Amino acid sequence: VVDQIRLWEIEKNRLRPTPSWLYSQFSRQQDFESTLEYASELGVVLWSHQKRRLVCITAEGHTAVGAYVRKLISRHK
Amino acid sequence: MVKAVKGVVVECDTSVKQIILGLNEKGQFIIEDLDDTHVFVDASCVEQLRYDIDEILNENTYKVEESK
Repeated sequence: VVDQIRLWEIEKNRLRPTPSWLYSQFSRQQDFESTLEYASELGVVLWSHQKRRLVCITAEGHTAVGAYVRKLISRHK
Repeated sequence: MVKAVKGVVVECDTSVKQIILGLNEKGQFIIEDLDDTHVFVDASCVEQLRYDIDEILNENTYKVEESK
């Protein structure tokens, strides 16, 4: 019976969706790394990839990380 | 310029991921293919996706039982 419950759980968890924001097209590697570090400290990183410069941020973290990225970019202008 | 897109990260096992890729050929709901077990999709398609995958996997289970 325990096995059956476990199987049922696996079946029900075929998909684990999390609402989020995908950040891409970082023109500088250092901007990407800085953003990733900031988001990691906040604990809002769901997934990331160094080489492709992609990072997924939770919906809760988007406001803070978005503001951080804008600040980073404006510094270079 | 950094781009931020709203959507849903879907985590799944590799076999389910293959099914998702197959379904995407009809629907085009994948925003970014992340890796073997993650995909970033349009938020509005998640319920349909769950339904389609259940359909496909249940169908497979049924076929296996039938062939016994």
